[in-house]
Amino acid sequence: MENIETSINDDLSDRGTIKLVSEGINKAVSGLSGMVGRQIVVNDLSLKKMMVKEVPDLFGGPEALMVGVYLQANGYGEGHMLVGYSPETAFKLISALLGESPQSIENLSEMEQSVLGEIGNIMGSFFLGVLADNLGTRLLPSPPAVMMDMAGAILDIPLANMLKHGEDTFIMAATFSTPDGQIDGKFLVVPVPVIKNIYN
Amino acid sequence: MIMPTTVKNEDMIVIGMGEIAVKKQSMSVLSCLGLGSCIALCAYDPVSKVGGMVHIVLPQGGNKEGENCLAKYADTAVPLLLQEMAKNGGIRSRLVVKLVGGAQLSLALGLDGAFKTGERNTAMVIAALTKEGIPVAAMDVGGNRGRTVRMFLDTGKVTVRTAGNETKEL
Repeated sequence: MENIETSINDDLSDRGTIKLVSEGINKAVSGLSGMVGRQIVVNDLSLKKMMVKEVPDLFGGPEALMVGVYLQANGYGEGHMLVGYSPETAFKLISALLGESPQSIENLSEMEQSVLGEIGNIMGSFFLGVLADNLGTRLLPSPPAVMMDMAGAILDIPLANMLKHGEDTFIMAATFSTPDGQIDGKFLVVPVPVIKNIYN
Repeated sequence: MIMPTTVKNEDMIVIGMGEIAVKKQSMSVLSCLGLGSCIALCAYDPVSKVGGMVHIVLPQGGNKEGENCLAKYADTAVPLLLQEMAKNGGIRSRLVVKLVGGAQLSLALGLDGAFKTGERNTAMVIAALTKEGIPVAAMDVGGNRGRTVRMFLDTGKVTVRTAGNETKEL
C-alpha cells in the first residue's frame, strides 16, 4: 500500500485530537484506494469551526446535487460520518468496481447503491478501527445510508443533531482524490467535540 | 431570534436551519433550500400582504435557552411565526398556511430512527397548528426526496422543486 500524503492546516488548536482523527481519515481513504485499485491521496485535512447552516457549502451549497453515504458511529456517544461525492465521481467509482457504466445518471440502482454503501462501510470501518485501537474500545459503523439528492437534504440529519448544541460546530473535513483528479470526494467527521472528550 | 443573513440577490431571502423571516408588502421571495427532514412552514395574509417562513429542524427541544432556539423546534416555531405575522399586521383568520418538507431520505435499517425525524417534525407542526386553531391549506411532505421551497411575497404563491424535477405550485 502506498503512503497517503496529508497536509494539515497550521492553525489547528488541538493537535492530539487532530492527529487521531487525521490518522483515521487517512486509513479510511487507504481503504477506498484498495477497493478501487488506484492511488488516492488526501489533499486537504483540516479542523474547521463553522456555522452549522454553512456546512452544505462544503459540497457546493444546499441545492447542489451530491451522493452521500451516511453512517453513524455505534459504541460511544453520538457520532456521524459522511462521505460525499459529486454524482460524476460516484458513477466513476461504480464503473471502476462493477466494470460497467451506470444504467442511469439520474438515479442509483440497488446494485449501485450497494456498491457505494460498501465503499462507505469500508471507509467507516477503517476510520473507526483507528479510533477504537487508540481508545481500547469497540466502535462499529451502522449500516450505510446511500442517498443521491440535494446536499442540504442529505446533511439534514447530522446538522439537526448539531443544532441541538448550538449554532456553530467543529467539523473535521478532508478532501481526497486520485492524482489525475478523476475520482475525488470529501470525508466529514462530526461532532469532533465528542472525539475530543474521548481522547482527553 | 435568528433572522436570515443570506441574501442571494436583492429579491431572494434564504432562510437557513432554525431561522425565520416575516416581511410586509414586499417583492421578495422567501426560500428554504435543500429541505430533507426539516419543515418549511409558510404563512401568508393575502389582504395585508404579510408573509412569513420558518425553517423548522426538530420536533421539540429540551433546554431552550433564549429566543434563538425557538425557531428550530416545531412546538415553539409555530407560535413564534404566528406572533411575528401578527406584529407585522397579519390577521390570524386570514392566514394561508402551507407545509413543505419532512422527508425520510433513507430507509436504511439500524440507524436508530434517525431518519424518522421528518415524520416527527410533520406531526408536531400539524399538532401545534391544530392547537392554535390554524388550518393547513396545503402541504407537500414526506416521501424520500429533498425539496426547495419558495414563497413569493407579492402574491403568496408557494412553489416546490425536487432534485432533477420541475417546479410545481403548491
